[in-house]
Amino acid sequence: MTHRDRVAEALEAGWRFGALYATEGGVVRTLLVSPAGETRLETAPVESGALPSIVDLVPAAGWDEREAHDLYGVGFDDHEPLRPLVDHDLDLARWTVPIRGRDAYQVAVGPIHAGVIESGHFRFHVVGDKILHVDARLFYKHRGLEKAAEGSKLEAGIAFARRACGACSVANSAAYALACESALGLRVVPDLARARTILLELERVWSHLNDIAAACSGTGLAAGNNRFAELTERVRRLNATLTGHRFLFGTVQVGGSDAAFDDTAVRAARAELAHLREAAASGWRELTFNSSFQDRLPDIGIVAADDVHRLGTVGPAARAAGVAEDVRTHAYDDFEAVTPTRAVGAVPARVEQRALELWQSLEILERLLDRPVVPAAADRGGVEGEIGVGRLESPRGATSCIVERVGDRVARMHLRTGSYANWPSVVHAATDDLFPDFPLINKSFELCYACVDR
Amino acid sequence: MLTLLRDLRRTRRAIALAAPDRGRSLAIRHVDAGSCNACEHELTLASSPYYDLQRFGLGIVASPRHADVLLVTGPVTMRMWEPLLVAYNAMPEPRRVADSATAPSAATSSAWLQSSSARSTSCCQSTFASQAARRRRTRSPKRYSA
Repeated sequence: MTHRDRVAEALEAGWRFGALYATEGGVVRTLLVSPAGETRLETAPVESGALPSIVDLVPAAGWDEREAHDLYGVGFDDHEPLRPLVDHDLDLARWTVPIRGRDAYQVAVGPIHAGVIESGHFRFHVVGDKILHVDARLFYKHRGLEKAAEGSKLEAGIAFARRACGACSVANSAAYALACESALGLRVVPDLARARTILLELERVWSHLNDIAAACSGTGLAAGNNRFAELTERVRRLNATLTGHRFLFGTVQVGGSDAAFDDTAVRAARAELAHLREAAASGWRELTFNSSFQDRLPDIGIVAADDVHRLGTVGPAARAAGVAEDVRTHAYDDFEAVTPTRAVGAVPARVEQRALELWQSLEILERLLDRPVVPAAADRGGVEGEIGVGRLESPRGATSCIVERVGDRVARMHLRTGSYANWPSVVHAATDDLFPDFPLINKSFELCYACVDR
Repeated sequence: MLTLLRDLRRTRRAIALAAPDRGRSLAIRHVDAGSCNACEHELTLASSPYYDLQRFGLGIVASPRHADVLLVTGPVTMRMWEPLLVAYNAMPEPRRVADSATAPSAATSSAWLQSSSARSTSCCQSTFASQAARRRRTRSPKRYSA
């Protein structure tokens, strides 16, 4: 049975595509995820420089295959055209979709943008104000972090996952730690899981507050933007008080957690979070009844449920389309994924989704911060292996980290974040909408560039 | 238009207005040259009610043409080097380059990584300090100076 057949069979059995990457050892691995959240890797040797593409089975693997081609020289038969993704080919025809017709023209935006925004280039193909297609060219921030991690000790390699993205630092570090632990046969004990859950949810809280602020800024509502920016700042300050770092850097370790919040710290955190909840709820009410805000949130930028399945959309963007999938369902006790009232996958649904998840995260934090947090170590006794997989829900969706090891060193590390999964959906969402609406559509996803580019 | 801009630039150079004793305003153009995104998030919040950057006369502007200061975040990746130079060259004189936190001061990503492997609490906090044009160790300062 070929690699392609095995992937096809798994997909038919209800498994989902998780990631695809190549290694120096001449193999390509595909991560598959079952409906129950189990993960499995399918490995295929690369024979005479290429192997059959799976992109027709899973369009979501498109970027992964292009990346494997650019960075590891692996060809994918029948992936036509295999456009450069990480490589920056100067020839426009090589990396853009050809658009022809009367009055069609291109608008090039970036890599430097007008606001305080990460660097990336977008090429809009438009007729008048209408977007026919967008070619996104990211990877201006490619720092070669995966390659740089190779050869480092497993414990030290976490720095590369952590600094892949400041906004998803806990999610990426925890995914890396889980991958290492699974490879080392370490089992996560309840105290360790609790400490990490608190950190992950703190990250989600500031991130979702920031996203609501961004939506306000995208509609030109300065008051809403300032209000939610203020709340974001308060969570960052809380992070600093609890852990010594506003972005929670260095709080996740491989094989354990040294996070220690005593009784006073936990009580103060609960009080602050209760205040935040009240303030955010009142701010959200304001936005709900602010007609100038609501009028500027039409049903644009649609990624509907069937698009979610086809494009492999994850996280709030998928749930806003009514696809109630969340890695936390398998990881947390009594967790159920929420979806908005009008789950049509448009801009207002994605903004509302942030608010719904915010209440959920604040509730989880309130429950978990009922007693001091103590340092914890993972349990020995699992099955050791050469490869480990870590998967969790980052603020932007499912993030997977795969670590291959030789002894106690990293042989290959691959990080596929929620942002990576969702960029093709942004492109899809913008198509057929108006060019001036793109900033708002983009902000309703609020994806990172840093953890895509790595 | 181009003539007007050129003439204005000449005038600006010729009269060489000294900075007032107390600086009144500074227009900042931010360029992300490969940051981890934490600097951008902090910079965004610098304009939020808790900090209100504008009260110091510091404003983030949309174009390098409007800017006095180029604020660089990130270690300057290979792909961002050219766009960064384009932005710098688009700035009128007098101009300064500043960096945020520690990432850009390490001009190579390996140095950046070394600094990041330590638990870095000073980096990416909101204590970004504007400095005068940096002396870069591995890049020729001539390419960067006015």
